[in-house]
Amino acid sequence: MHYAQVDISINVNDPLPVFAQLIEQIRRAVLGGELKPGTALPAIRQLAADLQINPNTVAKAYGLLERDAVIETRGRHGSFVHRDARRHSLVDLSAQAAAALAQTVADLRARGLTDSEIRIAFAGVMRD
Amino acid sequence: MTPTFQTALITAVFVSQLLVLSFIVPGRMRRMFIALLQRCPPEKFPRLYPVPVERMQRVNRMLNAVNIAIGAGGAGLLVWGLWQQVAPLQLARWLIWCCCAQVLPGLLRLPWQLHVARAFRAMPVPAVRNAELRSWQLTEFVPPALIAGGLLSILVAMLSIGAVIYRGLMPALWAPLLSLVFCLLLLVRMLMVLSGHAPMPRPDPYMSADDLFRVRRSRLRILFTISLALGLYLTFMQAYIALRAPFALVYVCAAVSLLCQLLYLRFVHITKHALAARDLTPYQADAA
Repeated sequence: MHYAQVDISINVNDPLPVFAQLIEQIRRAVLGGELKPGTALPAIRQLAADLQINPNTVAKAYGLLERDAVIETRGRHGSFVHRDARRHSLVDLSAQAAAALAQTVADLRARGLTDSEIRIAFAGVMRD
Repeated sequence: MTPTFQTALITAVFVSQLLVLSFIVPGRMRRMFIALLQRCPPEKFPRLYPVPVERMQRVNRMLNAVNIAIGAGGAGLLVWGLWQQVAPLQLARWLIWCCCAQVLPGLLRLPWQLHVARAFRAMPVPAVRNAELRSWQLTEFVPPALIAGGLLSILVAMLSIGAVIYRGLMPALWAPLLSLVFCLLLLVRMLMVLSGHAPMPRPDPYMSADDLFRVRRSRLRILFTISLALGLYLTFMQAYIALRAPFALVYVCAAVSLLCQLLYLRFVHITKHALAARDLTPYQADAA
């Protein structure tokens, strides 16, 4: 092998969206120690070209990882693994959102609302 | 050195050039293709042949015929020149013109190779795709000395050509201007690679990560090696013209021809080695 490498693999037929697969594998690489703090990530266009996916998909994944402070972007120098990435990778905002929604749905069902009413109310809130 | 020695030298280099560029190298490339067809037949490795094999073989046959015709023409010219006892300098000029003609089939092959490369990139992409999650540095592909050498060599060549043009040492401007344009193109490409503004597309959707690394390394090294070699050659030629170097042009022509032959032989060696090292299992019909 030419140098230590971190491989990423995506399956476009997987029910999980591609950007979510990217996020999951980058987090796993950070937690597993394969991606160390300060490691430079491939440029969005280069990774998109290698995986043959839309650059917007990679940009979305990078944007969400930056929001969660797993990576940081330093302007034209590119994206790098955050110095506290390992700690931040343990925080899963999506899982927290799912848990909060599950609790809210359970409460609403307990009050007698049907699933259709809950869906309509949720859609209305999201539109606002 | 006597004209007899110069004639003998040019004749030997001429014969070597005819053999290497028109027969040995094309013959080895043809045998490599045949070996690939036998090792990986199209029915078992359909993804390795995005263009019909019959068409590839037709193009190869046509270009091989051009190679042989040029080689035969060059041999005839050499025999006629020796029979007419042409001066060594004239023979040396014919040597270089013949070299340019022998390189022609390679240039004619370029549009075809671009067509094949596009066909590879246009293949349906598999559902499962792999990539390296690491930003690569140019120095992982090309030694820093070669990067510096390539850049410096081209810059010095451009300055030398500029100086020769400014001093009016060349009767015709088209050759130095053409060289200047070519140097500029190489310089721009190298700077784009250095600044990261030249993302490298994937040659085909099925290539393994190791092969992808090897292909990228090979292309980047070729870019900087050509820049280094061309820069040195052009700088030398400008110095030769400007300083009116005492050694005969005959030896320069012989050296250029030998360098060309070595580059061709090296290219065949690299191609053979790269093909032997490639992982061709993703190109099988039943591979996912």
